[in-house]
Amino acid sequence: MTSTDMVLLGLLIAVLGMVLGAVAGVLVAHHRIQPTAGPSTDMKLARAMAAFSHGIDSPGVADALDEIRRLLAWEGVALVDRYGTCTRYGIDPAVIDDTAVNSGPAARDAVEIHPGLVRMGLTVDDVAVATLFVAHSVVDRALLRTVREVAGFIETQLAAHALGEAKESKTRAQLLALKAQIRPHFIYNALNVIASFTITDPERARTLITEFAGFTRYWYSERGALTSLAEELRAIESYLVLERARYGDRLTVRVEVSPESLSTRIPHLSIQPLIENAVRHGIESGSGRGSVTLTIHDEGALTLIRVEDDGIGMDPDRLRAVLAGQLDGVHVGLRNVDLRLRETFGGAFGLVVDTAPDAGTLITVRVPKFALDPTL
Amino acid sequence: MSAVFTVSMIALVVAATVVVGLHGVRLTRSTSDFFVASRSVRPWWNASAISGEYLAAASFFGIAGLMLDRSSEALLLVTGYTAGFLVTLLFVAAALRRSNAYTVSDFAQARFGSKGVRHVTSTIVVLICGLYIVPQLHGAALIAAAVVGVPEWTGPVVVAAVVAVTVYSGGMRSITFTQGLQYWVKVFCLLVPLLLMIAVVATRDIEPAHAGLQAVIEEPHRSGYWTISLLVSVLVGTAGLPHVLVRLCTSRDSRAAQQSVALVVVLVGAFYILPVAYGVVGRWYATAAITEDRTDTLVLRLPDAIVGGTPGQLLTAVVAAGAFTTFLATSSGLIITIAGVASQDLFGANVRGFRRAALVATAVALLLALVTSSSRLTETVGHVFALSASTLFPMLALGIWSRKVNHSGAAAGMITGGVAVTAAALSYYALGRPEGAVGDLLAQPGAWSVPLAFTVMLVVSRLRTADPRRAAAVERFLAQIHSVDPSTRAQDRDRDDVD
Repeated sequence: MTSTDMVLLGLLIAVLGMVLGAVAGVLVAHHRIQPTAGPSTDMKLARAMAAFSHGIDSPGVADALDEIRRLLAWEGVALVDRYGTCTRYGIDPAVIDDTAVNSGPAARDAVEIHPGLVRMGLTVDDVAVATLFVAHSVVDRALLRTVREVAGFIETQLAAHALGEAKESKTRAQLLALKAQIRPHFIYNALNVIASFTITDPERARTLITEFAGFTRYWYSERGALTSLAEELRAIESYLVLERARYGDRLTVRVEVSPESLSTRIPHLSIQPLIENAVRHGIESGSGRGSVTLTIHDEGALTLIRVEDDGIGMDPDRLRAVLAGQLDGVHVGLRNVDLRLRETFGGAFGLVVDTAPDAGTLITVRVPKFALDPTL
Repeated sequence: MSAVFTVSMIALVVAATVVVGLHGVRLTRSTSDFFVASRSVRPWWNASAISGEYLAAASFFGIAGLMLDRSSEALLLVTGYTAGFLVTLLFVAAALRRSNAYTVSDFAQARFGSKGVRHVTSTIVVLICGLYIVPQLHGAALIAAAVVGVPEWTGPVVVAAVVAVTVYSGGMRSITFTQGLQYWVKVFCLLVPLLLMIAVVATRDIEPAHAGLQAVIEEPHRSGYWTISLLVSVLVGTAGLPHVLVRLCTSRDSRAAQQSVALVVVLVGAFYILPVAYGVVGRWYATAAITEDRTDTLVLRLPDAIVGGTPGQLLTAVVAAGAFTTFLATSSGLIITIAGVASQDLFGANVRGFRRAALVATAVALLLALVTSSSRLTETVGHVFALSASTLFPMLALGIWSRKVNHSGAAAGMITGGVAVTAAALSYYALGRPEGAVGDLLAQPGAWSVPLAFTVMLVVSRLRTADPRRAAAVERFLAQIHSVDPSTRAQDRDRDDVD
C-alpha cells in the first residue's frame, strides 16, 4: 500500500464518518424511526388532523385543512374560529359571510344549509370553538357522515390541546399562588419599629423606610418565578436591617458565600423565609439571643445552601406533618418553600431539615446550578 | 543540584496547592454583611481567573520553543489565542451569560429543548477537556525528564495523583480566587527569570552561543491554506472552549461578562510577550543542546544556560515550579469541568457521582498521556482547538444568532464536525504527518470542517419541519438572551428613582 493509497483511505474514512455523523445526529435528536411502508390515506388523514393538537390557531392548521380536502376529494372547505378568522380552500368568502348573517348559530350536527354547502359547529367541553364548512356538488348521507367524523376527530385533537394548556397553566398558577402565599409576618413589627423611631431618631427611621421600600420592591417584582441568589441576598440584607432595628445586639448573623454561586437561579423568595424562620427560632430560645449562619458554596453541578440557627429547634414529628401538609401552623412557610423548590427543580430537591427540640436547626437546600424557568 | 532545587520548589507548590485546596472554603467571603456577600466577582479578577485557566502548557512552554525554529507559526498562534477572545466577546459572551446557562450543555438543552442534543454536547465537552489535559501531563513529563532527571512518566503520575486527591477530597473547587492567582503566579515565574537573563546578557557581554543560529534554522514553508486554516481554528475554537465559557456565569450580568472577556484580551496578550521574549532571547543564546533536543524545553533550560551557577539553577527551579502549578491548576480545572458534565449526564447529579466522574476522568487522561507522546505541545492543542471550532462554536453561534436551527441540525452538525476533525487528526498521525496539500488538509482541518459543520446544521435543520410549540419556546429564549438583563434594568430604574 503506497502512502497515496493510505491518504485516500483516510479521506474515505473521513467522508464515511461525516455521513454517519449526519444520520446519527438526526436519529439521536429524534429517538424514533419513521415507518418504511408508504402511508395509507387513513394514516395521511390522521397525520393531517394531528396538526389540530397544537391548537386551532397553530400555523399548521391551514395546510392540514387543505390536505384533508384533497384526501377526501371535497370541492371546498373552510374553518371559521370564534373570533371570525377564516381559513378556506375552494369556497367563496361571500358565501360564508352570508351564512353567518342569515342562518343563525351553527348546529352541533352537520346540516346542509345551502345546496352544496354543509355546515357543522365544533365544540370543546360544550363551548363552541369553530365552525366547519364543506362544499361539494352532491350532498348525500355518506358525505354528511364523513363531515361528522372529521369534525369529531378535530374536536378530539382540540380537546387534547386544551387539556395540555390547562395543565401548563395550572403549574404556572400553582407556583404564582404559592409565591403569593408567602406572608412576611415581620412587616407589621417592622412598621411598628419604624414608627417608634420617627420621633427619637428620624434619620434612622428614614434609612429603615428605604430598606423597607427595597424589600417590598423585591417582594412584588414580576420577573418570572426564578431569581439569582445575589438578588435574594440583597433582599435578605434589607430584611435583616429591619430585624436588627428591632432586636439590636441580640441577633448575630454570619454569611459565608462563594462568589461563584451568586448567579445560581432559585425560586423568588425561597431563602428569605428560611432566614426568617431561623431568626424567629434563635430569638425565641431561652437566652433571648440568637445567631444565624448562612453558608452557600458549590458542590459539583449543584449549589449547596445551608441555614443554621442555635435556637429552640423544632419537634421533628410535628415538622414532618407540616411539610407533608397535614398540619397548619408556624412552620407553614417552610412547607411553602419546600413545595416550590420541588415544583421548580423536581421532586428530589426539597428541604432537608436537621432539628430536635432545644438543639437548633439546620436546613439544607441543594439546587442545580442551572434549571429552566417553569413560568417562562 | 538543580534537581534538588526544582524538586523542593515543586514540593512546596504542591503542598501549597493541597493546603489552599483543602481550605478553599475559607477563601470564600465570610462576613456578617449580606450586602458585601452578595457582591459578585469583579470583572478584572474574573478575567484573571479566565486567563489563569486558559494559559496552559502550550502557552507556557510551547510558544517559546516554537519561536526558536518556527517563529511565524508561533506569532500566528499568539495572535489567534489572544484574538479568539474578541470572537467570544462579539458572538458569545453576553448572550451566553443572559441565558443563565451554567455549562455549554445547559445552553444546548435550553436552546434546542432536547436531551439528545445535550448528550451530544456533553460528550464533546468531555472529549475536548480530556484531550486538553494530555498536553498538560506531557508538560509535566518534560519537567521530570529535562530538569529533575527522573523517568518521564513520573511527571504525569504526580500531577494526576495531586489532582485526584484534591478534587476527590472536595477541595480545589474551581475557585475564582485561586484561578485568578494562578495568572499572576505564571506572569511572575516567567517575568523574574526573564528580567534577570536580560540583565546578565546586557552587563556580562556574553557571546551568543549560536551566533549564526538564524542561518542554521530552516523555517518550514507554509501554504496560504495552512495559515488561514490555523487562524480559523484558533480564533473560533477559543470561543467554544467549555472550561473558559463556564467562567462567564460567575459574572454578575452580561455587561460584567463582556468586561471580563475584554480584559482577558489585555491580560492574555500581555502574558504572551513573555514566552515570545524567551524565544527571541533563545534565538541568540540557546545552546545546541536545547535546539537539538526538544525545543519545548527552552523556557526550562535557558536561564541555566545564560545565568549559570547556583542562581541559574534557582531560576530554573522557579520556572519549573511555575510551570508545574500551571499544569496542576489547568488539569484540575479541566477535571472539574469534565466531572461536572459527566456527573450530570452519566453518574447522577450528586457529590458521589461528581467524585466518581473526576476519578475516572483523571485515570483515563493519565493513561492517554502515558501511551502517547507529543514532539510539540502546540500540535495536539491545535487539533483540540479545531475540534472546539467545528462542534461547540457552530452550535453556540447558530443557537444564539439564528432561529432556523433546530435540535436535529445542531446534533447533526456537531457530530459531523467532531467526526471530521477526529478522522483528520487520526489519519494525520497514522500517515506519519504527511506533507503537501493532503497533509495540510489533515493537519489543519479548520478551514473546511468549520464551514462543513455550519452547513450541515443549516441544511439538516431545513429538512426537519419545526414543532410549532417548540418554535414559541425558541422565540422566548432568543428574546431572553438578546434583551437587556433584568438586573441592569433594575439598576437603571434605581437611578431614575434617585433623580
